[in-house]
Amino acid sequence: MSLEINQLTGGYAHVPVLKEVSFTVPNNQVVGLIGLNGAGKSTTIKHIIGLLTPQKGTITLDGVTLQSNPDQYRQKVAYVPETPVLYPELTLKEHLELTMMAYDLNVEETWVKANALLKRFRLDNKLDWFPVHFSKGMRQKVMIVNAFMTNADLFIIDEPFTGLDPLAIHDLLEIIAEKKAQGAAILMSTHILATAQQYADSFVLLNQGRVRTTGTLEELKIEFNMADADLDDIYLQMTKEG
Amino acid sequence: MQALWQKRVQKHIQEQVKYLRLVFNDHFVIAIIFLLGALGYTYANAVKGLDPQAWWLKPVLSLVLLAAVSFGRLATLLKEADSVFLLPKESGLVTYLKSARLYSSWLPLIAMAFVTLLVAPLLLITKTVPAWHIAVALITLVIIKDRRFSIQLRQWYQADETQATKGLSLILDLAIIASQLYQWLNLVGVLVALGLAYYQRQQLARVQKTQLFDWLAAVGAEDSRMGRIYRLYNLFTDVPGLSSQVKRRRYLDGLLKPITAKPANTYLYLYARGFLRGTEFSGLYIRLVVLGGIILCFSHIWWLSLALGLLLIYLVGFQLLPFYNQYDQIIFTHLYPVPTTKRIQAFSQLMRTLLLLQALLFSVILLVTLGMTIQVGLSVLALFVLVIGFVQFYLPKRLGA
Repeated sequence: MSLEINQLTGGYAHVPVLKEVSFTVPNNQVVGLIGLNGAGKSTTIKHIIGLLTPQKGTITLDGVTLQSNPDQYRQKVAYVPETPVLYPELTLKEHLELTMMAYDLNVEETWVKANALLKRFRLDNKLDWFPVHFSKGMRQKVMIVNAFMTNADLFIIDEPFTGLDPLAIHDLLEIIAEKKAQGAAILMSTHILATAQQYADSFVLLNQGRVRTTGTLEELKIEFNMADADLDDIYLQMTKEG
Repeated sequence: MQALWQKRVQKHIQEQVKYLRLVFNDHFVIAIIFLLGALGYTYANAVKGLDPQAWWLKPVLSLVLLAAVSFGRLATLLKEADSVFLLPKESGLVTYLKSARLYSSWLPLIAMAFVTLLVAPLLLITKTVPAWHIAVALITLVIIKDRRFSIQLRQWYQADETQATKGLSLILDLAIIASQLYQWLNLVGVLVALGLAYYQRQQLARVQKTQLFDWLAAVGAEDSRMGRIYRLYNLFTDVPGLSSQVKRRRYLDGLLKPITAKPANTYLYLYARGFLRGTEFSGLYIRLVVLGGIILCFSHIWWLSLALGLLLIYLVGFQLLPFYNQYDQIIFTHLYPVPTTKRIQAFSQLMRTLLLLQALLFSVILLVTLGMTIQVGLSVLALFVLVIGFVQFYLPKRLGA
């Protein structure tokens, strides 16, 4: 049980950005989605969270598709966007409350989790603040707390490391590891390859809307025929192939 | 610099025309014509019924004219990047600003002429001044405006030691305007205004020769001026890149209490908070309801009141519709596992509350101004029927599509 993407072709209007993309994100795993700007990372994510409808192919999450049971599907997904977006009229506390309402979470249990997360990200004394008063990094932390206090089965994290301070990056990686240990599937898109190499279990390399290859770092090394390469070298090699 | 101004003004006018066309859509124009007709009618009646000897007439006239002279600011069309790119061209700025000043004069001139003509009957019914005073009064207003432009421009030069205090200047303006309402005194007033305006022009010329331009202040002023215009447009149409202000309004939290934190209330929770704390839609609602209430207070004919009441309720309901899509930009609104029908329900509930409140207020006004009659009773009923119809039938159809 996990996220399965099968022969996905899609994109905006009638221009297919993605061509026959297939990969899986198994439970208990962090999968890194790697690719150049414009390779199709964000488009893939938009398809998974249901902002775009596939032109061909299927996306199933634990056997559920967005078309067959949208509410159940959405219940399972938590998303941290690359650019933090918040409701300008809601305080931090109200954002969390709204999420609990929307996802029908147990209020008491979730607040315990939320408070722990808030403390970790040093937001616990800012519950009554409005988004305009938050810096970009703080907004991103709000997004992270919002996503990770849920009981989602799949976490989608879009470029999480830019804008966060080193301490927050460390905390985020820890939280990701905890969720992974609890059985969640995690899809993370990023350009920070060193971090990805260290924390992701396997990788999906996207190039020009197609999956170039998938696998663990070891498998990638064999695939690219680069014995003692790191992810950086493999990435550069991939871009050279054009 | 002259060419730059020409180009800027052309682009500016193009953009204004584009937005004005969106603001004055068919719907809105019909409503405006209706409202203006009703306003004109009640105003004409009010003037006829007025006591020409009323003590408050001249003070109120002075204040209205003072407000008229305050309408419209100096449009420089300067942009933020100018403070970097035009820096070496600072000496050419004087001609640029001259053109800007000339261009900025048209709108205030029209507004002042309009207001002066509008209040002219009020002055003439007192029979204390001859009709040519109206023309002198308008000329005086123009001269005051010219002085104000000079002062405004002066403030955009650095280290200007003689900053005129705003309060004093305002009292002076009021005195000059008040003088226009009395025979012969008005000629003294116009001469004083002329002298002051000349003095400020001299000062401005001196400052422009000796001081450096304060780019930050001038660009900031232009930004806030354009911001105001776009906020106004934003009430009627979407202006890209414009976000309205948010206020905490803790005192309203009591109103939000009944919306408990349960899944069924997800969107109501969001919409209610967004409405009360955002300034855009709540401001629109308050303005239209209060303005409508005032207009209704002046109408003493039941069918006119009814027509206005219905129109205003429809107008408010219609103008609030875009609030439904307020949060479409925020990705989470699409991700919530809550069906769209629930969202429409929540929005309907908010609209129902707001429109019923409006209908209730209008009903009270109708009952007070027109008394308890069968017609008024039926009118009140009609207002509430419209609200229910709008929310129950029109709304789901509009939003579902």
